Order: sequence, then C-alpha cells, then structure tokens
Amino acid sequence: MHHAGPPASYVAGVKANRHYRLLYTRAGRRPAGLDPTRIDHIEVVDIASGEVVLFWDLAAPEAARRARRIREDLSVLDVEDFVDRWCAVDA
Amino acid sequence: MAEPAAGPAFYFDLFSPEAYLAAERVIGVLPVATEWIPVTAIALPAADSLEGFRCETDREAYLDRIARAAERRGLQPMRWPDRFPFDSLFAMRAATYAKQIGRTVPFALAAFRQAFAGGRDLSVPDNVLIAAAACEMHPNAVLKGAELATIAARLDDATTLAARRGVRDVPAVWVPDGDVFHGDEALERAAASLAS
Repeated sequence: MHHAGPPASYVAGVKANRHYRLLYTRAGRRPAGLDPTRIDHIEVVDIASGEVVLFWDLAAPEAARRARRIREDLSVLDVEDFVDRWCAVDA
Repeated sequence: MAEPAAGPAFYFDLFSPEAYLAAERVIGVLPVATEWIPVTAIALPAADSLEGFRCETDREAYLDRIARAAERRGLQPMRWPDRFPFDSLFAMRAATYAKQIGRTVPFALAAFRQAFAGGRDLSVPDNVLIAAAACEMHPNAVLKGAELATIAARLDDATTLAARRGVRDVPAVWVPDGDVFHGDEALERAAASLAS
C-alpha cells in the first residue's frame, strides 16, 4: 500500500471525490463471487496530477468490498479524512 | 479498432440495473439521436460490479432504490434474477452482434426487460435467446454470432474506446464535446449539454 498525502490543490471541506478518483482493475471479467482466487488491483489517483495516492492488490471478493467502501468514502469524506482513514489500511 | 461515432453515445452493459433504468428513457430524454454502444462494464476503470456490499441490508437498500425508481417511472415491477449480479459476457457479445445487424436498441431493451422485469439470469444463453427472438433475431444466428472472434474483438474495442473517452462506469452518455455523463440521473444533464 502506498500513500502520497493530500494533493497540493487540497481545500479543506471539499469532498474527496473532487480530488481523487478510484481505478479498479479486474484481472478477469466474471463477477468476483464467481472468481474468488483472482487478484484485482485498486488504485486511488489524484485527478489533477494522475499520481497514485493509494493502491492495493486484493482477492476479487475483497477488492469488490473495498472498492465499494472507497467509493462511498470518496463521496462523503473530505480529503484529509479520506486519506487518514485509508492510508492505514493494508492489504 | 473501429472509429468512434461522430454523434453522442449511450454506453451500457446488460448486467446493470441502472443502465436498464437509463435505457428505458434515454431515447425520450436526449434531444438528438444517440448511438447505443454495448461495452464490458467490468473492464472499465471504475465500474461498480454491484458486489461487496457491507451486509445484506446494504444490498437490499440498493436494490430497493432501483425498484422504487422503476416504479416511479411506470416500468414493470423489478424482478431480480436469482443470481445477481450475473456474468453478462455472452449477453454483451450477443448485443454486439445485434449492433452489427442494426438491432442494438430492440435487443438491448428486450434483454434488459428479460433480466430486470422477468428476473432472468442473462448468463444463461437461453434467456438471451428469448430476448433475441423478441426482436426477430434467429437463435442460431445469435449463438454463432456471439461465438465469433470478430464480435469479441468488437466488444473489446468498444470498451477500450469508451475508456479512452473517459467512460468509467455504465450507464454513461458521451457527448461530442468530450464530456461524459455517468448514471441514470445524469441523463438530463447530458440532454442539456446536447441542446446547448
């Protein structure tokens, strides 16, 4: 897991999804529940710079759960809270 | 790889109930003719695979939100397939074949209704063939078409092009000035953009 910190353009109180975008790369096309041994890749990238802020390689079902949590948090947390919450989460 | 169409595009995957909601109204909402393009959502950069809910209650809340939207719009009551989300690859190859013969819209609407009004799992080829038959596509032709390497390649190319255009999930409307509007609820904003 990698953590680069809040982006230079960070403004307090602005939702994280204004700065960060989730990228969720599946190693196969079947639903995760049907392909539990597959390893999928999750990244959170800084929209402005394209820099990868957070990333994980996870088994497909766990990746699906984590992507959903991250998507939810991006839409409700501000940047600092989002980074604080997720930078401590290892694979 | 096929050249992108010049006009606006509506991107969908048949596993997505939100794409179903959008498909049922996109023709009426958008002010100009829009190309329907089947893509493999799971290969897009941030598609919601509709898995990984926190708990069953969380999942049911999502399904209920979709069902209430369908009800508000006067659609048939939602019936969820026994296996959901289902693997839509065969159905999307059939949709790509339908696009090749100029029947994308009737096939997609029939297949969406099979899935979400009929509760049929579209990973089962017979359920896809029922949808195809509803728009006069012969079952043998659909089976053969869906197995063609060229059809698989067209679906892959369409998905790659969609991602290059900035499509991250389905449903999405791409407009020629380069903007992408994601989600059923963004159709009105896409329409405003096209009308301006």
